Amino acid sequence: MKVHIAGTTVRIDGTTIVEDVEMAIDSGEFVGLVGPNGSGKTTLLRTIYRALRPVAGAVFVGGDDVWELAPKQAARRTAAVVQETPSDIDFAVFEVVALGRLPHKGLIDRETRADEEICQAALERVGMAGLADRFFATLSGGEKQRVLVARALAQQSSVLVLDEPTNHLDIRFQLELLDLIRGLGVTTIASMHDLALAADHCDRLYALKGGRVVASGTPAEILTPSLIADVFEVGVRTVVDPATQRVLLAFDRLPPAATAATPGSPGPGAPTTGGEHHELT
Amino acid sequence: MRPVRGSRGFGLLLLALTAALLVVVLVAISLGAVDVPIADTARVVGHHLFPGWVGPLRSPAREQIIWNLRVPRVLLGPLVGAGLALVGAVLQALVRNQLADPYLLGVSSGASFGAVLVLVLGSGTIGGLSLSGAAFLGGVTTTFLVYLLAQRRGRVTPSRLILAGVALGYLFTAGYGYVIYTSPNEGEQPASTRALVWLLGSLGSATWSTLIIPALVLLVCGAVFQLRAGALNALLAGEETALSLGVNVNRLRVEMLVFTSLLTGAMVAVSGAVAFVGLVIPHMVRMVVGTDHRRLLPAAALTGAVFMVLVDLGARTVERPNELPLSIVTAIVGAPFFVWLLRRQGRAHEEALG
Repeated sequence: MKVHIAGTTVRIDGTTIVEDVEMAIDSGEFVGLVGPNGSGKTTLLRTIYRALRPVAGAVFVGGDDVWELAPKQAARRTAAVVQETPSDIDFAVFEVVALGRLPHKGLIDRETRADEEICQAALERVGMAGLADRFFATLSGGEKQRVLVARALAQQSSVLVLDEPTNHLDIRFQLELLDLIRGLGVTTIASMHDLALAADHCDRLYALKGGRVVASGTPAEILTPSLIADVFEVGVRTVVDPATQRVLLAFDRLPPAATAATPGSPGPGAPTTGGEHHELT
Repeated sequence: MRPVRGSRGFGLLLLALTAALLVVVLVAISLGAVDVPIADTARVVGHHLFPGWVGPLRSPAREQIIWNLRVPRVLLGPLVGAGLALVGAVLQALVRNQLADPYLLGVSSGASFGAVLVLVLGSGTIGGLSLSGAAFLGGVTTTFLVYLLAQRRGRVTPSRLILAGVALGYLFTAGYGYVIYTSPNEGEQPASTRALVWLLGSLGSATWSTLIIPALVLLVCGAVFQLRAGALNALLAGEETALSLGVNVNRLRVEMLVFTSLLTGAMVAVSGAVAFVGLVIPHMVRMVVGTDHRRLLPAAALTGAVFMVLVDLGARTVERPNELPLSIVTAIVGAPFFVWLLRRQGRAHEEALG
């Protein structure tokens, strides 16, 4: 299913967070959003799963403006794995996955055998079927993310939105999770902190800064020293891994003068990026 | 403990709870200031339900006591218990906090304020409203004020709801405290004592006619909650998750506020502010059936119903012929359980982190 973000602007409490963003994502593509903290990645993702209504422009999923669709209809097209503060009331793993069936249920529909089988298949696909009875809070970070992906699978949507899916995961779980998601073959839009991971797993990248798209293209086109210096305000050197021929990135802080001179600093109303720590491998 | 899975086990559980409810109701009708043989109880109830099949009791006086005094009182118990347990479960999901109880949003303080006005100053002071009418109005008005304070452009968040509820709760508590404190302390049973009895909860005022409104409100609200049970699951998982699953979060929150306050108001109006039931029962039931509200809500309602009948039975019989206020009995049972629950959860959490 195609996703088209058409001239979308989002304002929250009078502050423009995303401005006139244009993106066209093809069926089955894995697209990464990169950019520093406060560049509007999460906000943009929220417009796709219909949590936030743009003040200008629109988001089309499968050819329809998501705000023209009923909420459940939109949820049958787009699933999301987001960062959420856990409640102190805990769910069992199978209950978390069963949440994914909600958009398929009317007010008086009950859960059927078919729903249970879909959930079971989703858990097996992410390799978590053995932990279905465990409590979600007792899982490790990697296991939790897998369960949330299983919930998204149970939702049977054609578009998957992921907000920092590899956050707080060990390197092995990061790679496993992204391989898993790649293997699903659904249209995927993910915000990515880790540029090396983004380079390895995404078909295309969009670089955001101050709520605007500053560049888009293949990872090789985007992750150039000059663009990284512009977007993230760090210096970068590229090294070719002799074993895999992959391009590796090494980062440095830019000297203060260079930072000040960097063109394209945050636009009007953009949240400040000062004093933030960028976690880059 | 792991929640029971599978619809068969769950069906059996509901059946067992329903059977338990019938048994405790019959027992509770038999026991009281004067004990009645359970066979007589069964005969009176049977005669009134199926007059063609079961003959009347030989002593009309005893029949009167059972049918017009005991039965309505014992039947009010399950209504109040089920109602409070439902509201507790729904509010815990709504504010995503396991300490939420039906009185979190100030309903009981508002209701108590209304009730105390009638008890101490007389119903003339508030336009001739009855005791339960004033309590209901006080409770529902408080929730409405809490909503007005907590909303911003029609949007409410859990933290703002809790803060507004706690603030108004203290305000109304101070209000009825002042009314009681300044009331004349004279006579056989001064107004302040009657207010205290009401505040601690009692089913003693039940008649057949007092059952109608709570039963209807419970039926309507219970149905609404059951229809929205799936959406409550999503809301408990988190606001963003719920939005991504197609739940209109804000509408759900307002809807649940309206129906929980109606139900709490209706329950408090006929029984006073009974503590602990709405807090403890949902936790107990969650341990057995899990967090899925489609299962939690009916099981909690039945468990609350059984629990309340037993609590009232205890209140009537422990110090015969005197009656204990319900909140004292529920606290004796509920507080230790709750402490145990918190200790246990603390350990589980540490294990998860370790």
